[in-house]
Amino acid sequence: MPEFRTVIVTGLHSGPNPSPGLGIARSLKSAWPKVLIVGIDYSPSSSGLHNPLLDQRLLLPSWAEGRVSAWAEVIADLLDDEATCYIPGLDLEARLASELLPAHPRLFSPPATALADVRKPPLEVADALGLRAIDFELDNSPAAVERFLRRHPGVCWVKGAHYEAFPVRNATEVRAAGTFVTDMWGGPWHLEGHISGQECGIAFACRDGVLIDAAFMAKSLLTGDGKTWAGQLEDMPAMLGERLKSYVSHRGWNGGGEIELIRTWDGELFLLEVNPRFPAWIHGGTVAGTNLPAGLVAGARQHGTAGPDRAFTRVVEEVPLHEALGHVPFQWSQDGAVIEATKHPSAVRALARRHFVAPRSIYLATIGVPTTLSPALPDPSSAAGLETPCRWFALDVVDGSIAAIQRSLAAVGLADRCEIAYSIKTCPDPRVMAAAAAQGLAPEAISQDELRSAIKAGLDVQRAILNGPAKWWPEPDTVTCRAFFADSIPELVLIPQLLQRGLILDCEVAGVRLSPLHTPSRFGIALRDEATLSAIVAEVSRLRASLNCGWGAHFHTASSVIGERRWLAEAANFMAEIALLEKHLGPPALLDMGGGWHPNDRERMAPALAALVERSASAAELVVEPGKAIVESAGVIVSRVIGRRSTGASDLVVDAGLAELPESTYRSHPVFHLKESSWRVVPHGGSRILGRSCMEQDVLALDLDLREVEDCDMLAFADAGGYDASMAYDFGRGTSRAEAP
Amino acid sequence: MTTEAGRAKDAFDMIETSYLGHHGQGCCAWARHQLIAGLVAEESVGSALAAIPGRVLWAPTTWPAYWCDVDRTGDCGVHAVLASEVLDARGVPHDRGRAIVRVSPHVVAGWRASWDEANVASTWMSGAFAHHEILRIGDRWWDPTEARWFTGPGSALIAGRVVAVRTHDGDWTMEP
Repeated sequence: MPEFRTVIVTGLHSGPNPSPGLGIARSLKSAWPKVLIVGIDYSPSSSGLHNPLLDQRLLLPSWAEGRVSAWAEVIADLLDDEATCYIPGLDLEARLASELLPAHPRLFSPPATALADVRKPPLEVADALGLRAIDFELDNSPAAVERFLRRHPGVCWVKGAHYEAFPVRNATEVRAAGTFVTDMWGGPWHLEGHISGQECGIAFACRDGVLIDAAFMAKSLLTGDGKTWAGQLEDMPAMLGERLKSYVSHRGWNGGGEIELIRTWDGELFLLEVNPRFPAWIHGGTVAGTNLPAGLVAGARQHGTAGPDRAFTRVVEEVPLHEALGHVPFQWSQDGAVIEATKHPSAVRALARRHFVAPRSIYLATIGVPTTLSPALPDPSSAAGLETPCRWFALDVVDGSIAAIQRSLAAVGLADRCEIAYSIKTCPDPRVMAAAAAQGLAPEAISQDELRSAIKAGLDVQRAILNGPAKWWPEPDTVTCRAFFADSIPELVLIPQLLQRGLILDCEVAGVRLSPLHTPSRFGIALRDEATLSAIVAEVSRLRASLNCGWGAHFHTASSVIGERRWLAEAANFMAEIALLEKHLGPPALLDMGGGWHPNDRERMAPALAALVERSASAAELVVEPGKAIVESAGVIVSRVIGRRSTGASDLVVDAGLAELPESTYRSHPVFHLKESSWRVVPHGGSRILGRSCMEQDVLALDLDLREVEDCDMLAFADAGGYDASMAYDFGRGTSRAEAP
Repeated sequence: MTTEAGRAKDAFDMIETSYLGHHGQGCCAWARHQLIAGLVAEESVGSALAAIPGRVLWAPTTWPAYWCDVDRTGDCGVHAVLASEVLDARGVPHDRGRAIVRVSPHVVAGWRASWDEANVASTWMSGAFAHHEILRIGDRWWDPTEARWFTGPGSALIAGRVVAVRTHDGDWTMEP
């Protein structure tokens, strides 16, 4: 028997997302059947409390109402017995214990200095252990969130500083998850990238900075929530073991701990998080050979019962309810919502909110505020006279964006090989098109109407690129362009029919748009089989003969949506398809690599293109079609405050709305306030800017401090020069489009 | 019944069934409307009753209390009043009732401290027992604070074990 005859364990709920208390109790009993286990929990619904393994049960008040001082008194009273020790099973209890029972000799829980490292993301621990840290973003501002999601397309994670992790795929899901974390647990959250791999964990036991033992476990089966269902102990990587020893010594770690990892296919280890208590799978470690709870209590390594392969699995076990606790009947809920108690019967979230929540000022400090004004803002003296709502274009910003793209292409040696074609659909404002023409850009059009407006604006139609399924609409008599790319096989068949009907088509390149291999798209031809290849070859050959032109192909998928890494992968697939076509059609004359780059990433387009070209054997000329990369940041919507929702810190109503800012439903716009003849950044706070319409979704901005904004003041929404402009519409102004009678 | 339980029963018999007073003015009219309209609008009686502990968080309440005193918090008496109003609005016959609940000593100590801190009488606690207001609906008992049905004496609630129950003007039925 160890020096401690009685061990207090907590965290006894053993549901689908279990706490480790029952596992700790099992491990201790397997080492010393006569050790007394006192189970403490805060609700009779905590399932592990009913397990006959416990010698005593102590039911304390739910954390929804319990007092931390009373809790500390109970624990301290129990620990008065020198043969009693306490192993907390809940993270928040470990934190409470470090505050209220610091340095108690029989409390096996990390000190405050170690707990500071446990906060997510645990960068100090990653560094100390030589583990890779996963990309993360602490800034909760919409701009930072959107930027992070662009860099990490697919799944990301919203994680609270201490609790909760939600998979998210877009800014709306990020906001919902972040709000939940803040409301439920208090404190800030951050965004983390996703690493694919095998989840692993290290459980370890320490006494006052001395590592007693550790177990490295690789998960082999997980629940739907990602919890361990089966796993296998493996030898700890030598260097990692040494570093762990050094780290726990440096931090004076006491008690149990868990390090959660992801191991990639090629063996790299990424740190997910650190927990200040044993993991829920701790008894799995015992049955697989390493009894860490017993080691902690004994102060020396204790072997478990080593099963074959050093592996374990969980099983579901039914136990009769303990007669002192009884069966608590079903709890009814409003609208059938899942009651919190089924996940946290002890109401530990309430403890977090009551005792650990950070002041809102700390949370707001995690939201980055733009440090510079938008370059597209009108001069304050000009702005004052504007009739609002008004879309203001700063053509010098357009010029600057074009120049930046030109410079970046030149920097990678593609200036002479790659044409820039302005994507008219992004913003067909004649002033912007004229600026593009002045900078030598070609036009990229998706309809005959666009082509005509391009000509009127001074863009060179000889260099025009025609794309999309409606490029021949409205049906023209004459078309001059550099290249057109058919969106489908039927379109390829249609063009000869148009020619037969009298269309005069003058072009250098006839080609096809190819669908990306892995990204679903309604556009382009999916080149997946021999029949499609043959059809493309046959129809393009026919067109080349009748138009006396070269051939080419078009690739377009937005890197702003799928991320740069996947864009490169899809573009590489496109180049492989070109190589297939080249065997039949000869070298292509022109490859259109599309647009879809976020304005903040426009200078990444050229290096990506250069990397692609380097890997491919094609010497074809290239075209890119930037649209929002050129014009989005050049436009602002200037509006005035026309009302407020209540007194004090209130939501404001402006005379702009979704009609002017249709992209507001899925992306943020930086907001600036004109006050005392100068534009100012609007800081973060708790108010919203609402649009003028009667639509519930007409919310133009969130989380702003609008206390300085007065009635009739001007507010400007930046980054509104792209699709906000081209997709704007009349609404609520008493106007209507001319419709057929 | 143990001596301690008997003492608790005697003490609890002195407690009257809770009713919220009405000032006859806008303050109470508005408060009552706010609370009841929102609950009665729930899709079902069950949803409405289950919504009560979420709308009005369990906390010390000074009695006698008026409708305008109920903001976001109230004790089991307030919960029982609201539940009764919902059932009346939905035409569900019911009776007000009460239970004696045996509570974990640590839990009752915590409650007593909270009530003392709020300067509210804790006569609803006696030793390890608590007086709890409930409702009789058909042949079942409803706990308006925990939003659960329970069968009667001997049942387990989150708060503790039910030792005895009675309707407003009925006799106690004790745990076997």
